Amino acid sequence: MKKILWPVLLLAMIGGLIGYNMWNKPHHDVSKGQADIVVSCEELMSSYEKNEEEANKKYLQKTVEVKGKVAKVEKTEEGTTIVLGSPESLTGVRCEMLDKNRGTNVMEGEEVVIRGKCAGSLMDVVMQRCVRMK
Amino acid sequence: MVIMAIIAIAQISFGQSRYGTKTGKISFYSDSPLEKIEADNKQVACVLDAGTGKIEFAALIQAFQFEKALMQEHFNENYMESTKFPKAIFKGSLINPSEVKFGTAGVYKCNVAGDLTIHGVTNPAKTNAVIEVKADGSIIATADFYVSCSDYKIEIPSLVKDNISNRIQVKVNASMKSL
Repeated sequence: MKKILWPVLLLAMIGGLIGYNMWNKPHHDVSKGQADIVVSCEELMSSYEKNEEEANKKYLQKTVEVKGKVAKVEKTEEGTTIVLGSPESLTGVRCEMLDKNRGTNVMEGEEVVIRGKCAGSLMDVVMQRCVRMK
Repeated sequence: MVIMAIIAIAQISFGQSRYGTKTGKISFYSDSPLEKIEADNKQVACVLDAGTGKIEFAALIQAFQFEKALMQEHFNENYMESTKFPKAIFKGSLINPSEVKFGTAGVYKCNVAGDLTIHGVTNPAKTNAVIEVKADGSIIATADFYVSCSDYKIEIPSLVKDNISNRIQVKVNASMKSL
């Protein structure tokens, strides 16, 4: 009886551990590895303006690396959002930064490269869990 | 001249009567025996026209952030099917716009009714809301209501049915500036 009990107990423990790790698995770190798509801010915006459905097929849920000029930096207690695009334009690419302090000291007009998860487009294209790469 | 003056006045009053933000916040909560489910979306677009009382919200489903990555994955893939239905939209109006004095700082209770679209399903929705008019002319609109998953054909697998409540509490908080 004991011979069966031990392996079963061990298996249960391993199973439990795997389950626990899966349950607590961390969010995907976008700064590690390769981006799914590398694109300029203008191209990303224009593909959403032209055809939202097609753009969603291409970018939604993907790790997107965007290169563009900083139009605005919005800092609040809740976090920092860097808006890429032209300051005159009503629309842009909104990058919600993962860390509200790291890599967020940028000037308007500065050229940056930001990686994040594309969540789609409202008026602006929205990116989440963003990290500044350059 | 007269026409130009009328246009100018119309533009001024039009400008003053519209409020908007791109950084509204929507959170939802569900208490389950297994674990608390909670997510925030801080990139909600909202426009309110004080003249007509019309109000609109748009939120990207994938912009809801969960503490646990697995929960966020399940939320997007299994429940909300967010690649198929990337947005949630509310289009409605203040039932009685005169309840809110947009020109005078204060806290005003009001009622909002309209159509709420989630997961590709549109239902009539109604809620109490509070609009706070600040001294600087900006406003904060808040609302707190419940959404039932079954109304929006959001299917919860029977395996976890006991752990996920059908009734989800939704909190909206939008700080809007005059456009």
